[in-house]
Amino acid sequence: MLDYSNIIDISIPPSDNGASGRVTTCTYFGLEARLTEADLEPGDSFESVEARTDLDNLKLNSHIGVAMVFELNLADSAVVDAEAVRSAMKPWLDKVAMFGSGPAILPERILFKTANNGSHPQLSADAVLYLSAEGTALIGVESATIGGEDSESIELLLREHDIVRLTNLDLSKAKPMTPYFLSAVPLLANYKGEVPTRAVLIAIKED
Amino acid sequence: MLQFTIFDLARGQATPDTLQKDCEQNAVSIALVPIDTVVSLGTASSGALEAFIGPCSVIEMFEENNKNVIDADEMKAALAGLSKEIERVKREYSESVEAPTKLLIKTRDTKTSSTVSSSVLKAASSSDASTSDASFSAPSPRSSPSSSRTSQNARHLSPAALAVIVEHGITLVGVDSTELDPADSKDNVEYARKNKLPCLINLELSEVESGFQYILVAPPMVMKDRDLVAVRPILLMN
Repeated sequence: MLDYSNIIDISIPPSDNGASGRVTTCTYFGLEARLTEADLEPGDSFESVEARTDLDNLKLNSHIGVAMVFELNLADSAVVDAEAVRSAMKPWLDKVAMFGSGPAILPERILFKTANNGSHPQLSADAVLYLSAEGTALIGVESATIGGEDSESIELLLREHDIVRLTNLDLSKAKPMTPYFLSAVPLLANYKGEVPTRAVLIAIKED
Repeated sequence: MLQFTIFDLARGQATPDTLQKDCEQNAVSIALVPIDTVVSLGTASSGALEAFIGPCSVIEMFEENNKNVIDADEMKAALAGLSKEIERVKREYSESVEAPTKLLIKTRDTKTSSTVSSSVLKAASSSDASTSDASFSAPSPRSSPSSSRTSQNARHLSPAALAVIVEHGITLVGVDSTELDPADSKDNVEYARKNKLPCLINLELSEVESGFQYILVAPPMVMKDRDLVAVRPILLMN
C-alpha cells in the first residue's frame, strides 16, 4: 500500500532563469533494447513501436516502481567501486537474509546518497556491472553525472545494460534502506536522450 | 506486490526546444497548478504534491444528442452513478474502497464496442485477482493510436459542472479536451484558479477504461510565475 500522505520530492525543479544549472534529469533511450519478437506486431518498425500505447509498461517500468536509497561513505575515495557498493548494501542484504527464506531481494531502482554533503560519487565500471548483474534498472545520484571524470564510458555502459540514469537528485529527506515507490518519468513523451523529470518517492506502508 | 499496469496519459511530441511553445499552445499535456500550490511546490515542501498523486477515478461522459457542454445536472448524475458503483463494489466484494478525490473525465468516445459496466467491474475486482503477471498484461487489446481513433470532438465542462465537482469533494480534475474551456472562453480556468482546483488538461485517455481504483501520478514541472505547466501524467492500475 502506498502512503499518499508521505510523498517526498527528490527533484530540483528547473528555474525560470535557467541559469542555475542544476535540474533533475533522467535518461530514456526508447524501446529498442527492450523489445522481444513477441512484442512486435505485423507492420511495426522500431520507430512506430514507440507510439504503441500498449507498450507503456515496457517503456516506463524502469522509471516507476520500488526503489531504495543507500548511503555511500566517501571518506576514503570519491570513486565507488563494486566493493564499495556491496558494502553500502550489505546491512540491507543481511537484514533480508535474516528475515526472508528466499534470496536477498534488491529493489530494481537504486538511489545513492552521500553521507557528507558536497562530495560526488563516481561509480566505476565494475560497480555498474555489479548492479546490472543484480538486476538494477535505474541508478540515481545526487550529482550531475554518475561516472564523474569517466562519465562518458559509464554512460555507454549504462546504455548497453539498459539502465536508466537519474541525476541531480535531492535525497536529503529520503531514509536509507527503506523501500519507497519511485516515480521518475521523463517529462517528454517519446523523446530519446536526457530529459527533465519531477522525481518523487512515495512511502510504502505495511498492510 | 506493487506491480502496476502503466498508462501514459501524455499527449504531444515535444522536444526540449519546443516544450515551452507546445505548452503555451496546449500541444502537450499540461497542468493547471493553483498559485498557492506553485509556491509550496517551489519550496520543495512535499505537501503540495499530494494534490497530484493519489487514488483516482476515470468516468466516461460521451456526447449524446449533440450536447457538447457538460452541465451541472449531467455532472451530478455522473458523480451519483460513480458513488453508487463504488457502494455496490464495497457491498459485493466487502472491500474497503475509499472514493478517490481525483477525477479524470473521458469525453471522446474512441472505442467502437464499449463495455463500460464490465470494465468497471474488472477494475474493481482486479485487486483480488492475484495474477502476478498483471503488470504486463494490458486490460484489453490496444491497437496503435492512429488507427483506432475516431475524430469525435472532446466535450467541455460548464463552470457550474466544475462547481458540482468541487462540491462533491474532488480535489483534482483532469480532462481529455485540448483546453479546459471551449473556444473564446476562460470561465473554467478562472473558476479553477479562484477555487484553487488543480487541473490536468489535454490528457490521452482513449486507452483507459472507466473505473475508480486507479492511482494518478502527475507531479508537474513547476515554473516561476506560471500556473499552466508541463506534466507527464501517469495512471497506474493494480
